[in-house]
Amino acid sequence: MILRLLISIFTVSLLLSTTAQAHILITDNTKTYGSILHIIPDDDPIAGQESTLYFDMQNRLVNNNTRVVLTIKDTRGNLASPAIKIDGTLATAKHTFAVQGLYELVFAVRSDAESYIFTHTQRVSRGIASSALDNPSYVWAEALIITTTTGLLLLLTTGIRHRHSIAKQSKM
Amino acid sequence: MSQTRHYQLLFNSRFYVLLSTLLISLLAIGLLRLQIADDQLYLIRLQQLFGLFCLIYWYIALIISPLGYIIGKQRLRQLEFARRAIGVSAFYFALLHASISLWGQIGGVGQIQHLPALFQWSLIGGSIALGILGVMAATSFDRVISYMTYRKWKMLHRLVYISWFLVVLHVWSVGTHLAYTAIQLVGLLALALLSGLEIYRIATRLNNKLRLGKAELSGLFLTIWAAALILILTIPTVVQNYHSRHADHTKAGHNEARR
Repeated sequence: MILRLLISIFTVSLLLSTTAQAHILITDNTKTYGSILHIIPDDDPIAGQESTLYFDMQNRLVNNNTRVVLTIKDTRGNLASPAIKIDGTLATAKHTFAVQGLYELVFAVRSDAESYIFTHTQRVSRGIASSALDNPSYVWAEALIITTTTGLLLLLTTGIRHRHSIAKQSKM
Repeated sequence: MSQTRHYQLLFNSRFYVLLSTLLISLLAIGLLRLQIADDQLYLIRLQQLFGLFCLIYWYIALIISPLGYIIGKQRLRQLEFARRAIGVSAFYFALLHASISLWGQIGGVGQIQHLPALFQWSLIGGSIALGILGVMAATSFDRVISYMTYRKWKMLHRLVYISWFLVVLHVWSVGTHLAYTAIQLVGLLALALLSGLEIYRIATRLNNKLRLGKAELSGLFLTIWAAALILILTIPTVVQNYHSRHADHTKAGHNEARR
């Protein structure tokens, strides 16, 4: 029991060193299979710094002969094909996005005679910038922030003003 | 002579909790939209934030009773009164979290079949927890309580512990926030505190029948609490965590490169 406890504590402490991650579901060109893509750091790569791409495939897609090829294409048409390491259903690649911009990630999964293509467009908006990315303006979001902040302040002042009645009501 | 119960919305703390919940959710939607240009990343962050809000509200709703048992119900009477609204708020955030995950990130119910098995199991657990929370939110009105009778209502609301357990597993298996060191430690301490307070309440109530001495009662409490903590700490060995698998894989890759 103590050994199990120590293993658990070790597992928890091992996890303490990881960075934040999230997930994106991509389906293949035939809409038959799905895979989860997530990128460290934070699903929000930094241009000029190495990112790790995890491509987690469904069990039924993978067999002993499965090969995965990753092609990364930037908006100028430059291609990169980082090395992929496969372990079971998980394929991992490391890649450094050169500059900020949009990149097309194409995972080609070849299994026996069949081939499935998973495509995802990744926006890199942190790190080295060659030209400023178009940043759309969201007027509705600005209006929402002003309205909700005003609402919260109003609610707070109303609550403070009626605090004695609120306390009395809570006793009922 | 009949007494008239004066009831005004502005004097009710539940009204403030519910309205502030709605405003906070809208504020989060606006703030994140301005900060994140990428739609996919925006949905991810929104989903994560609502999940975190749900956990915080739910935790507060859970801890009020055992905390009140120890420090005195009178001191927490305002929070106790507002608890139902806090629970409904937790459900609201859970619903937003689930809706964004399902329709925003995954792309609809039909896409669930394309998820890896761990995600499917985790979503099932989360969905059951959401369903239970939904039933509790729907029955959190005075009229429903009087229709159901308090005893049956109380029994129904004890399901909260099952749904909380399912949510802990859901968060552990695919949760993003657990990757942060600080969140992991806070999560562990929060679970230890909640279980400690609940077990103290159970042990002292049990003692009304057992009539143990102070030392024996302390021993009983500490033994059950230690067992609960061991159970919490063994979750990582029993339930697979999506991120630890990636960490192991990366580590193995680095080792191979060194060779």
